Amino acid sequence: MHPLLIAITFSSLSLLCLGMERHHPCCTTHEWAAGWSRFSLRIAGWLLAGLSLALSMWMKGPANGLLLWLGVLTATGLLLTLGLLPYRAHWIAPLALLLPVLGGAASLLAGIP
Amino acid sequence: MAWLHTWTSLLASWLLLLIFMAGTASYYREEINRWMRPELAGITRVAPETAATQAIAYLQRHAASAENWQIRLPDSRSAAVRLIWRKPAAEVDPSKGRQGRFDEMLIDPASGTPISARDTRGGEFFYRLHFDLHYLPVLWARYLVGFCAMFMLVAIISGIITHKKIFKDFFTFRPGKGQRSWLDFHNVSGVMALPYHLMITYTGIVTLMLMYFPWSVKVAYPQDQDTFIAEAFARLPAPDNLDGPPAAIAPIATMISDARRVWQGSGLDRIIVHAPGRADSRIDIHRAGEHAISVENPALRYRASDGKRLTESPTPGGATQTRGVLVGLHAARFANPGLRALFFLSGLAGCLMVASGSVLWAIKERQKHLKRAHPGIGLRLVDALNIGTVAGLPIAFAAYFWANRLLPIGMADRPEAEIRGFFISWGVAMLVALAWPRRITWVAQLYAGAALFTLLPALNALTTPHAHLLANLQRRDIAMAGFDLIALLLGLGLAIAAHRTWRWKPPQRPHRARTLTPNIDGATG
Repeated sequence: MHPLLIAITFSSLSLLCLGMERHHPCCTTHEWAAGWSRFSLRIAGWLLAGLSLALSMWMKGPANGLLLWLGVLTATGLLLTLGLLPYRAHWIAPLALLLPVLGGAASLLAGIP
Repeated sequence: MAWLHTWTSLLASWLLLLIFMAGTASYYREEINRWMRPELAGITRVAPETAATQAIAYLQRHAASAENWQIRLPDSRSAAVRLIWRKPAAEVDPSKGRQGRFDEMLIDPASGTPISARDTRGGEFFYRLHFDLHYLPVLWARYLVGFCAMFMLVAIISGIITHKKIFKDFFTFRPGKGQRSWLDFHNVSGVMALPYHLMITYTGIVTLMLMYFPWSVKVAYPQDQDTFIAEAFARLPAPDNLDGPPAAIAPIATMISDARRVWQGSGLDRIIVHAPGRADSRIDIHRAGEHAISVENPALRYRASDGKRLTESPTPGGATQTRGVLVGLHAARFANPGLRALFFLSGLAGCLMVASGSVLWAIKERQKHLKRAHPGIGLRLVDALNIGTVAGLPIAFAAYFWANRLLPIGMADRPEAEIRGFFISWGVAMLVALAWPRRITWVAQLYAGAALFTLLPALNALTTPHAHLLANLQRRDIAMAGFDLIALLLGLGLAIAAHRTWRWKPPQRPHRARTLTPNIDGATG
């Protein structure tokens, strides 16, 4: 699997989620996220979404890359919505920062992008 | 629009759940084949030339009179060579239908000796169940499945239109709130995997497309449907009237290396020998899909007697390629393990969407019946069908695997006995649900499914001591170990569902308090 791709896709969805009126209150427990406006969270989320799609297509080619990206989007979206938001909402903001770092390190160690 | 969504989905939902579950299981068809034949452990991988040479030597000894041979070469997911041959008309047992015309055998690619694995349909049963529904006549089953798929497409599109707060509620799941939680869950399982649901339903309709309007094909190709298929899908047409005096087959390795040269080293999928042992015999070599999405892959045709390349499959046109890619997306044969796991997960989301939708209908309907002494017959029927499919089908799937390990190895008609295990347990679950459509039946059946799935790794360890989970993990036998682990996870999921259904308490309705305090939920949405 591709840790970095999964991590960036997760962060992108998390930022988009935190940027929504209903879920923005989850940010208050974490300084970095509380300092961001909803608008800038959303912009960052869309940028990361674009980045993860580009990464996936760069790794797997346009067709397979798009499929992989949609699949990862579904998996991370289900984890976020059914797992984290209702039960561990205060994990989302730190994980959105931490996972891309860990994912990048794991990908470097495994020698894959 | 809401009524359209409600009724198209509800009427098709139970059959759709069976189709969705069988289809989702079919992503791991090869791995299920492998788990259900534990005897296949430790097959060494060899070059396709060796495998094909051994296969032909075996077939010459044991199926010399066959009309044709099909050799499925090993790939990364299955190490054995699968041989299928069409028996001469004189040897066919007409009582066995389509399957009676063929014989098949698994052989070891290195030694060419048959592998004495237990007789089972394995994952092929789920694959066929997905569109043939097993007991129904094939044609009617496929019409029914195609019809359900069209209902599904209508349900998805009308569902998107009805879901007015699709963006506002995008990440919203509020557990523990009765009907609202079910609606949230239904929405989330639909929306999060929406690209998948649209793709799988649309491409599913495409796989059966030739059946919906058969008349135009009949007019254009009055005698010969096979010619139409070959031309429409850019395949090699089946050669006619091959005969001639008996003749030897030139070395297959030479033909394979020629094919590999033409395709610049690409892998091979299968080899078909038409009229084996005759002077006119032809050999078709089919290229493996590798990572191409399309199911249609090019083939080369050789003369068997001297190994000369005669012709190749035509270059596919735009429509042929489009269909190939759409069907390829549906079957996902191109997917590597990671992408396959994501398809499987999205398939599970689809099962949960269908199941939660039909449960939601019953919950909504119950509100209307609360004031009456007895719930209506319609609600009772829906409750029973919900229990019998949502909780009953997992029991049937698990029972099929249990039968594979518990039935005596040498028994007659073993594959059919395993399949009867599936349908008998499902039938019993359905009858119990029809007799007592209540919460206790939900709980009992969910727990039964949970126990059957959770105990599968233990059953596997007891009945095949050399292939238990830890040994498989150590040996890095991913297919065997992965099957046990997924069974365990599915069992745990069912156990959680059973536990929560057991613990559920009907909400106390504080009618007075509600009128005094403003309804916060009502204010926001």
